[in-house]
Amino acid sequence: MLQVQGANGSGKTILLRTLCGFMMPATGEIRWCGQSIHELGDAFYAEMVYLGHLNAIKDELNALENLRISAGLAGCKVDDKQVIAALRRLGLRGRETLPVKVLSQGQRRRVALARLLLSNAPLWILDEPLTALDVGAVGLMQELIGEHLLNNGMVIYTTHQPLEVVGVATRWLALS
Amino acid sequence: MNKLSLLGLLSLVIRRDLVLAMRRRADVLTTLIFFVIVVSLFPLGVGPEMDMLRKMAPGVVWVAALLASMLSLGRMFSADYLDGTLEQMMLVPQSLSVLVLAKILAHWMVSGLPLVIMAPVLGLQFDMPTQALWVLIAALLLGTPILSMIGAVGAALTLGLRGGGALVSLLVLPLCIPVLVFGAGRSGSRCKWHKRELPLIVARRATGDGIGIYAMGYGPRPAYFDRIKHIVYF
Repeated sequence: MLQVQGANGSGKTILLRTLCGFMMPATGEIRWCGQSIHELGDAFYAEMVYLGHLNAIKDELNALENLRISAGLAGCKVDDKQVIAALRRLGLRGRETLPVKVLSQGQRRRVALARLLLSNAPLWILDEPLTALDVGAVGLMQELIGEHLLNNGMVIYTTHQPLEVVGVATRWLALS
Repeated sequence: MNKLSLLGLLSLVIRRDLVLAMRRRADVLTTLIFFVIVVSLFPLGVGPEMDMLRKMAPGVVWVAALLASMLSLGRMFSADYLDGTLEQMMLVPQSLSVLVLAKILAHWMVSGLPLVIMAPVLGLQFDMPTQALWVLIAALLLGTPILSMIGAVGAALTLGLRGGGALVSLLVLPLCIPVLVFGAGRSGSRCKWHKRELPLIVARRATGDGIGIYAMGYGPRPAYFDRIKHIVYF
């Protein structure tokens, strides 16, 4: 687990976006399992999930449809039961079929976070995952990250809130 | 984990865009109603001179279709860009070209196909003979996907720019002139396809589509995207 820290404007988001391959690094290269991610291309993208500042969910669709589509795009075939289970885990019981536009900011963020549960990718890259989340959801997020790490997963994230996962050593990277 | 096939991905994105269009029906109707109004203004403005109306009908319908398709171009990628979906699409472990092709096809189904269906009804206002109506439909069926294709390149290049809607028209309209000349020219005068002409149009379409999709697949890819934007800025 790597936590990227730094003041506003210190380049946390740019670092994460460069890791995803959205931008080319000015010098050096980014490698996954010893190979450059730009050479790996799709093979790298199949093993990572990125959650940015934007939730990437459609207001017109409901939570179920949104997640079904995003899982489909990510190459995972999921059935409705799995999607509903993921949504319930994130505290959205009874909100599965409501259009996302009637949900609150925090609930929308939860829908976006449910994507993590539907993905089998070992690498999570999360940019400020705790934005708009309440205390309960932050605790849940810690739990989810803990489970992911126990399954040999990796997490790189930025946050201004302390996030402590029991029994896991966090590496820090401070940008200035 | 099962990886989606290319066709599966294509149909997933098309279905998604069609559902979104159905939930935002006003956008679809705006394009169609704009087309109907523009075409209908001509008989009112020119007056009931049948010969003249018959002659100008294909040109009027084509120009109106061209302008109507410009209306919806800005929306092709902008909604996905603003809510972050486009970002996620770039991370899809599949060919980006297929995604772009799906978005273009969906855009055509939503904004091009209704125009093709509506065109013969509007052609009646111009007293077009039945044979000419069929040719008009065929020409529009071939031409409107090209408009979506060329438009997609313009829409991708102007993503995130202020006043992108007007800029996309300025970029794309001149590129559509060959389509207009071919389309309106064929739907007009003799109202018949030359046997030799059809392969030419199909070939043009195939090469145009091929280059378009290929370029679009690589166009928005991270590193290239910024470079293209810089070229556009300076």
